[in-house]
Amino acid sequence: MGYAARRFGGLTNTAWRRNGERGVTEPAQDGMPGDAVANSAAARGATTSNAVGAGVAANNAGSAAKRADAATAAAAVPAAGAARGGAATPAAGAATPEVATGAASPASRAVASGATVATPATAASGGTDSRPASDQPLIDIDHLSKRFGTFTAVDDLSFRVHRGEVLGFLGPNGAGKSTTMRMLAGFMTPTAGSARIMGHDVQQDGVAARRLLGFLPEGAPTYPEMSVAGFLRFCARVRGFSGSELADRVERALDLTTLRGVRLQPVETLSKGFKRRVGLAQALLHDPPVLVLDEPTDGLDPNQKHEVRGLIERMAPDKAIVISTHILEEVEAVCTRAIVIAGGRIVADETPRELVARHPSGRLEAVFRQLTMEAA
Amino acid sequence: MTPTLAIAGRELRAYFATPVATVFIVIFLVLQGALTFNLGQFFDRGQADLNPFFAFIPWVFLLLIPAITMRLWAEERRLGTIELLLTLPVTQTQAVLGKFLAAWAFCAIALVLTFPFVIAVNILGNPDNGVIASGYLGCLLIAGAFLSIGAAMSALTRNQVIAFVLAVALCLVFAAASNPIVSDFLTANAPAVAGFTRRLAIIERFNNFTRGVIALRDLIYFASFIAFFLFLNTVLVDQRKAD
Repeated sequence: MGYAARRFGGLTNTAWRRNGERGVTEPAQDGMPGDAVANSAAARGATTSNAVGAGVAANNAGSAAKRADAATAAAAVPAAGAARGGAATPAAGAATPEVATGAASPASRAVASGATVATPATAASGGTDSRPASDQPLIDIDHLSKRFGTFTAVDDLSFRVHRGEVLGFLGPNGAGKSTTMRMLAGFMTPTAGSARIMGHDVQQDGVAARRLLGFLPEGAPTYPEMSVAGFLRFCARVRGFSGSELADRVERALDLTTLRGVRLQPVETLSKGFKRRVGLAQALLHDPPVLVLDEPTDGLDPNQKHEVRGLIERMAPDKAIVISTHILEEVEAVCTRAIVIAGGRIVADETPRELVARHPSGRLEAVFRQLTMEAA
Repeated sequence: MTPTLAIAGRELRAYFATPVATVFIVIFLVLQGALTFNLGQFFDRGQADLNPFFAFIPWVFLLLIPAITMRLWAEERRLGTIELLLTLPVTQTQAVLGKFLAAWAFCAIALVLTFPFVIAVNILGNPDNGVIASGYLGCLLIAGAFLSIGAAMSALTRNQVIAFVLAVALCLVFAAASNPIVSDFLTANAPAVAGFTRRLAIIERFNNFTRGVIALRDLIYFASFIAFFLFLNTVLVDQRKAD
């Protein structure tokens, strides 16, 4: 039995238990900026991992390149990339973004901000991973296949998604998009191949992988009798938040998806668009580095669509986002990369511009037709 | 709060959000009352104990408990929320345990609400309250056992009626195993199975508790019974979650 083999075969695998401390939004590994640097935590000036990282980075300015907490390390080491510096300095409390010109000055500023910030209790020191953050893919799908009896839904899919990418999954209905996303989220067991989220295999190391993932399932399922706020509180509690942090995160998720007005309404009384936004809010609660959204704008009115697309664009630099959609204009508007799936196989994997260039008319619809009709 | 408790809390609240809880509790109390005082001849017996009450518990549970477990997993599959639940950072064991604990807590609430019986027997006579307490422990354990069967059957199918019927049937198998008719029949025709079946019998173990005997053997029986069916539940959820 698959379950028994996995459950009892992995008894010595304690890695996920180590990462099991609840309340940690994401582990400080792979150079992630802790806790969504641009968001409320930074605004309150009380980040935990950032403050520790700032202090540590100041101490080890010379070896900062090796620190896993590359966000603040990058401020101290210009070589790591100016883009990272832009993301890290707001977190250090400075209002004005400054270019990291040398190791000394950002480091000393980081020390100063570290001193003014509340002393962090958690030891959010960087992990032991020495690979530079920007190289490691956040999502790594390797020869993934799913067969239902004789029917092959997903046929040997392989691709990687890095931080800052917004990947659009296109394809006709039944092509295997949702199946792939479900396998990535660990809901379906693949027939072959593997899926990794930030290095954690979703089957072997499922809990750790899912902790880093925000997933919006197809149809945005919710518990109908719960209120919106109640539902989000439940999801936050399951993810390990409690007390004021739970309340803050729920409020933030409600704000991001503009659901404040309906927070006390039972979900079953909401329209389809609102329900979908509740599902999206649930995926954003813990500010995950990886987002997998199955048709996030389905059923939304044009204004809501615009807002959600804006939200995705704002979140994109820090995360790896995969969205599946039928709305081709969305691909051109939001995605940095598009994969077209037909018959369970990838038929195209390029930027939207390159995709559009395939057909003389320059319309994505025509390219889509051409690709999927020939694969059918 | 651990994920298990969070899931259990949500499920318990969900029970009370619908009329399911009220109907179950009212029917349970009315049925127990009628059976204890009328059919059980509580007054005619002239004994200050709750034996008539406990005698009917397994059979009332056998009919009512599958009704509260049938929606545990079947509802999640119907609504599609199983996909949401199992893509949260919880293990399947935690999810299964959470739901089971919610159902068990609900049964415990129903049992607590039978306190008028205890008060009545204390007013009318001088019962051994320790035996009554041990009897309630037995009720809790047999509820847990039947709940674990019901939860496993609910994980088996998307259809709640099938889940209900299968749960009733399986609970009946265990309840009937102690019945003298069954054991005599087996002793006569299949003696090899007779001894094994007798040890499986759940009502005899329960009766030990109602007599005031809290035996380690019986505690281990109930613990392993529940553990086995929860394990079965987990396997079934894993196999069938994406159907």
